[in-house]
Amino acid sequence: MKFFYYDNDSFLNKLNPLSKIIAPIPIFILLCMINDVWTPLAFIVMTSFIIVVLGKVPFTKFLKISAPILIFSISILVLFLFATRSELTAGSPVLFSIGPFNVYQISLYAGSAIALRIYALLILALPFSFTTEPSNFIRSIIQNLKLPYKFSYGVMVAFRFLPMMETEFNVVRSAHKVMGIADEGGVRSYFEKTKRYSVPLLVNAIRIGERTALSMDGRAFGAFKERTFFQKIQFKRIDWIYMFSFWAVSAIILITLYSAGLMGEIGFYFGSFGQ
Amino acid sequence: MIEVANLCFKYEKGSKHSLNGIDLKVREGEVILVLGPSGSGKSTLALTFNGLIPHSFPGEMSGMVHVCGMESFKTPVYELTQKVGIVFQDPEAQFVSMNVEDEIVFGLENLCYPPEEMEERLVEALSKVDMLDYRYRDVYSLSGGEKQKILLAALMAIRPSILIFDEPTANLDPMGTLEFFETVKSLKETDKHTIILIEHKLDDLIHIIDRVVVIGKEGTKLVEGTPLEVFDEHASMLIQEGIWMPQTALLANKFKENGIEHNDIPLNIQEACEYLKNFKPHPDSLKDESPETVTTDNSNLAIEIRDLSFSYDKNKIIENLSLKVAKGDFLAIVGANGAGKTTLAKHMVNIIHPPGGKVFIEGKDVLNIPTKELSHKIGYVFQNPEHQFIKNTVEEQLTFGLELTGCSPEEIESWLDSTLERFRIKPYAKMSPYMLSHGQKRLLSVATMLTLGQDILILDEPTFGQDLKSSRELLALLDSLNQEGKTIIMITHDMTLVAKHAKNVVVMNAGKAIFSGSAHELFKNEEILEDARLTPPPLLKLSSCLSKYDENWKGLSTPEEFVNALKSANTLNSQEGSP
Repeated sequence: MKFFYYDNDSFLNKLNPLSKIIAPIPIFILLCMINDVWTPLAFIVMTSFIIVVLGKVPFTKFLKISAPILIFSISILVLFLFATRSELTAGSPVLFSIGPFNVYQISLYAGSAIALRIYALLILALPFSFTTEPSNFIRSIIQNLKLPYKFSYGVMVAFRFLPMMETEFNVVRSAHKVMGIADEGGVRSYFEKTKRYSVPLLVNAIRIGERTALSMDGRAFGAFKERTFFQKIQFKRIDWIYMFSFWAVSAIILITLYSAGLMGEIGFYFGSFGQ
Repeated sequence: MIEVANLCFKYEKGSKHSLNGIDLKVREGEVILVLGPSGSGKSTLALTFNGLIPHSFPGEMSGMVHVCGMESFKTPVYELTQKVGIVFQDPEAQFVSMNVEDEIVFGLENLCYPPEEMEERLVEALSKVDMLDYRYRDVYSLSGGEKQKILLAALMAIRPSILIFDEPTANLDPMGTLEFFETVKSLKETDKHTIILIEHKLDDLIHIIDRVVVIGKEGTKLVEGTPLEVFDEHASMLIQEGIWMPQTALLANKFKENGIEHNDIPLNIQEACEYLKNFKPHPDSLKDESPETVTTDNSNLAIEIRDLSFSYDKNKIIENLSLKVAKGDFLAIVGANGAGKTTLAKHMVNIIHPPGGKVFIEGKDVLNIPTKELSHKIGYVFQNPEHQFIKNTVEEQLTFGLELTGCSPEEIESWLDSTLERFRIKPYAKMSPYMLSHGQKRLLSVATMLTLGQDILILDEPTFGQDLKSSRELLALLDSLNQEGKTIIMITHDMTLVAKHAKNVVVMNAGKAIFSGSAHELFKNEEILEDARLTPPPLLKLSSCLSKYDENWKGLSTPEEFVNALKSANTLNSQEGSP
C-alpha cells in the first residue's frame, strides 16, 4: 500500500478518500457492459489525465505501476487471438495463420475490446491508490461511514504489520539456510517447510501484537464509545465538485461515442450467446 | 504518588509468583531505578501502576496499589493511564499510526479532546522532546532513538504525572541510547516529573536517580535505598545475582577485593576521577597486551574479504571493504545501526551472494563452497535465537544436524550429553526450545551452531536483550571456545564487551571499515570512536579523564586493568606511601 501512495499537495490528495472511490463506481459498472474498443480507450485517457494532471503523479511512475496491468491485458489479447469461441469466428476473415492456428479478424477485435476493458477497469482505481494515505482512508471510513473505530484501527495496525512480517520471513529463511537446510521441492517438504517457517513467525507476531495492544491500551484506547478526531475528514465542496465533474465528463464521453455509433452492443458478453 | 502494599501477582493459577509481597512508596518528583535479573517481574510491576494489570491481563492479584490516590482495582484503565505513561522496549511494536502527528494525538483522540486542545498539546509534547521539526515525518523514516522519543511525546501529550521507562533503550544503538537519556535528563530538570526507570547500563544517568529498588528472581524486593547505599553495602549480592551496577562502583568493588582502600563508592566518572587522581598508576600496566600480529600468510586466514562493495536500492551499504580474519581470532565488528555490519556478516555465509573473487573462507571463494559444506565450516547465530529453532525439543534441535551427517547413535548420544552439560541446559533437554529463558535460548542457539564442528562462529548481537548474568555466561563460553582455537566474529554495540573480550576490532561507518586493529588501539583513537558514533565504555572515559593527571592512565578500559595498574604501582611506590 505504501509504495503506491505518492505524497504531494495535488488536488486529488486533498479530496476525501471516499469521493475518489464513489466517483468511478458508475463508470466501473457501465464499462463492464460495453463491448467496443472506443469507450474503454476514452476512459483510459480520462483516467490517465486525472492521475497525471490532478494527482500530479509523474508520468514515469504511473507507467511503472500500471505496467503489470498492461502486461496482463496484453496477455488476455494474445489469448483471445488463438482461443475465441467458434460461433464468433465463423464467417470472419482469417488475418494470418501460425501453424494449425488461424487468427480471425473478429478475434483481434474481441481481444482488443476485452483487453482494453480490463485495463480501463483496473486503472480506474489508481487515482485513489496513488493519492490516498492509508490512515486517511481508514479515518474517512470511521468518520463518514460510522464504522466502529475499534475494528477499523485493528485493520490499520494489521497493515503496519505486513512489512514487518515480510522482513521477518526473510530473516527466518536465511537463518534456516545458514544451518544447511536446503529448501527442497515436493509435497512433504512443502508441509515441513511451512511448519518450520510458521512457528517462529507466529510466535513473533503474537509477541509484537501483544506489545502493540499494551501500547494502545496504555494510551486509553477504547476508553469511550466514541472518539474525537484531530483531522476531520468530511465531504467538502471540492469533493462534490470532483464527483460531479467526473460524472459530467463521463456522460459527455458516453453521449458523444453513442451518437457517433462507436459504442457497439451493450451486454456482459462479447456477442450474445447463440448468435 | 504511588503506594504499593504487599502486592502479589501471578499470570496463571498454580504458576510461580511474578511479584511476591512488594511494598513500595514513590513520592512526587522522585526518580526511581528498578533493577533485577530478567524475568524478575519488573515489567509486571510497571503494568500494575497504569492499571493494565489487573484490568487487561488475566491473572491473580492481591495486595493494594494506589496511584495518585486512586485504587487501581476500582479505577478504569483510562483514568490510570492518564496519570501513568509507560514507554516500552520495542519501538517498532508500539506504534499505531504511520506518521508522527497521528501518533501523538492518538491518546488524545481516545480521550475525546477537542481538536484545538490537541493542537496545543501536540506542539507542547513535541517541543518537550525537542522533535518539533519531525511533526509531519513518516514513522518509517525515523531511527530507533527518534521513535522512542516520539512515543515518549505521545505519552506526554496526555500529561501524565508519572512516567515509566521499561527498558526503552534495549533495542537502540549506543548513540540512540545516549540521545534518549539526554531527553530523560532534560525532563527531570525542567518538569519535576516522577520517573520510574527499569534499565540497565545506566552509567550516564545514575546521578539523577534518587532511589534504587532491586527485585529478585522470585519477585520479592531484595534491597531498597539510595544508589550509594545499594551499590556500596550490597555490592557483592548484586554481583552474585547478576544485577547491573555502575562500572565505577564495580571498579571500586574490585579495589576492595584487592586491598586497595577507598572511602565512598564512586557512582560516576567525575567522582571516580576525583578519587583516583591522587594515585600513581604503574607505567607499563598495559604491556601484557600482546599486539595481534596481522598474518598475511593466506593459509592461516579464516576469512578474507577483498574490496567488497554492496548496494541496495542505490544505497551503498558496503563500500570497498577489505578484511582479513586470522584463524583463532576473536573479532568484534562494531558501528552504529545501519553501518553495514550485518550485511557484511551475511556476505561471509553467502546469504547475500557476493560477486566472485571477493569473499574467501579458508582460502576458498565462498561461491564455490556448497551450502552444506559451508554450514559445516561456519556457524551463524542470528540476533533472535527463535529464528533458528526448527525442532520440537532441545534435544532434537541439537542433534538433527548430526543425524543428517550419518553419525552413529552412540556418538550422537555422548556428544549430546557433553554439550547439554557444557551449555547448562541439561534439565531442559526434553522441553520445547521456546519454553527456555532468554539466556538459555541464546545458549541453545550457539550450541546448535557448533554441532557440526564448525570452526568459525559468527554472532549477530549475541547479548541483545540479555541480562547481565546471561551475557556473562555467554561471553565466558565464547572465550573458552576461542581458546580451543575457534574463530569468533561478533557483531556488537557493547563497547564494554569489546574492551573485555575482543582481540581485534573492525569499526564500520557508512559501509566502510574505518578502523581495524586491537581494542586498545581503538580506545586511544577518539576521533574514530566519534566518527563511528560509538560511545566508549565508561571506564575508558574515566581513564581519559585521569590521563590529564598522569599519562599512564591512558587506555585502561576494564576493572582488571585498573586493578593491575594500581597493584603493581603500589608495590613499587610503597616507600612513598599511598595518598
